[in-house]
Amino acid sequence: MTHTLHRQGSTESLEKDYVVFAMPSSGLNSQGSKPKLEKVFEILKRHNPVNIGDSKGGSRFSLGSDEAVREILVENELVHAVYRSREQVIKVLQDLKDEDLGLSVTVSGLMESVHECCHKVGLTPHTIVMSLGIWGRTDLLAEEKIQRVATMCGHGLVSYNLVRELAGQVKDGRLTARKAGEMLAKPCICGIFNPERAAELIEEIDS
Amino acid sequence: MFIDGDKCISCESCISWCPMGAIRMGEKTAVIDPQECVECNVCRRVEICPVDAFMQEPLEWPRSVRAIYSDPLNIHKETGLAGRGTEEIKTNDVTGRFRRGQVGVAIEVGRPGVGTKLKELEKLSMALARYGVEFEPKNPLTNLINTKTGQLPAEIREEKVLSAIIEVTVEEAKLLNVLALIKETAKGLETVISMDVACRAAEDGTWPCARILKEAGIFYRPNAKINVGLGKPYIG
Repeated sequence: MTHTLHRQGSTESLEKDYVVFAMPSSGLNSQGSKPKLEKVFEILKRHNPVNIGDSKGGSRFSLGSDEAVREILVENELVHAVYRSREQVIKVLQDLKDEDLGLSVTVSGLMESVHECCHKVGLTPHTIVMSLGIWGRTDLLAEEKIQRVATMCGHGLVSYNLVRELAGQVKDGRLTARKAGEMLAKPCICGIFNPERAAELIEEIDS
Repeated sequence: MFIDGDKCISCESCISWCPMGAIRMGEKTAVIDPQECVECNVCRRVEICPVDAFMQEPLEWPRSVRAIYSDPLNIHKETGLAGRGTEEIKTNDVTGRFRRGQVGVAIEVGRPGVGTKLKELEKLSMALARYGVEFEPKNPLTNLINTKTGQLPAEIREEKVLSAIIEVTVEEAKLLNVLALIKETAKGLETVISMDVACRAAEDGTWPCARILKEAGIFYRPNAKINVGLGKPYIG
């Protein structure tokens, strides 16, 4: 618990960062779930996510296209997408509710905003995971501004050093922030990294 | 993972991509420090090397444990899932795993971005076992832990991973005691831990774990992960 939790930053920045994902439960409703996951993929894609991916194959940025993600969907996995606004999340949840697939759907984001999205669609939140932050040898951590970018890959595949290096290139004018965000999204194979938010955050880093 | 010295052209393109900083320039070519490499496969997967010099040797036990807890594309045979944890709250509307009155506690050792030797994780699992918690049986780590003593197999203690997750379930009334125990144990760690707690919504729609944390003055972030209740309950 869990790869989409523990994202860091100000509430203003987190207000533009939502991960929505759906999955069956292994052995309970996973058999025959592939067509349902394909339907989820179609709905997630319909509302213009900034990233999309699946837990067993890869993402828009690791595989090179959304079609490549769709083609490798299998049963018993998670399909994720990242959005920049509550309005998008509301539309996604409404479509998923209307489709009534029976799969579990989870939203990661600011608690108040997720509650509001659920309320607008007539959903009752069921279970929560809350982040208590980082304990232990916090002196080993990178600077907070670096962490804000890197922690958008909850599996830790985005290197602190890469964030630093690309921030330096953006500062020097050798790379656009947008391109840096897309490069940083590549190691995050689940597709939960928000490249647009990364582009914003990377411009705040003093290299 | 290793770099084929005959292929490497010393362009240094790969160095910054390693999440553990395990790649450095040797005398003539880039090299990987096998102690620091966690076998996450990022260097090879992102295809940053222009001459395809990254080579994966077959991983044998106990080194294979590094890939199991570092490369999320590994599928755990216990759960059928990729990643490092379980379905936890993600399917709680279907499974009913977390019931009212219970709280899930997860300790992700090594996250974010520091990594850990598994002996650090064992310090926590032993402390929790002494306290008598219930380790989540479906967590891919639990089958390695002696759930009575919290000990790990000796041969894996020095193996380094990106992170690994201990998941336990406790009664609400014991949550603060368990968090205090974890906090005290964390003082002796040589790494970091990312902490989280999980609970089901109360009848009135509030979050009992949030109330307990707030009353105890324990920090929690404003962002969380919420199962929105669209799954259909499984009636076996």
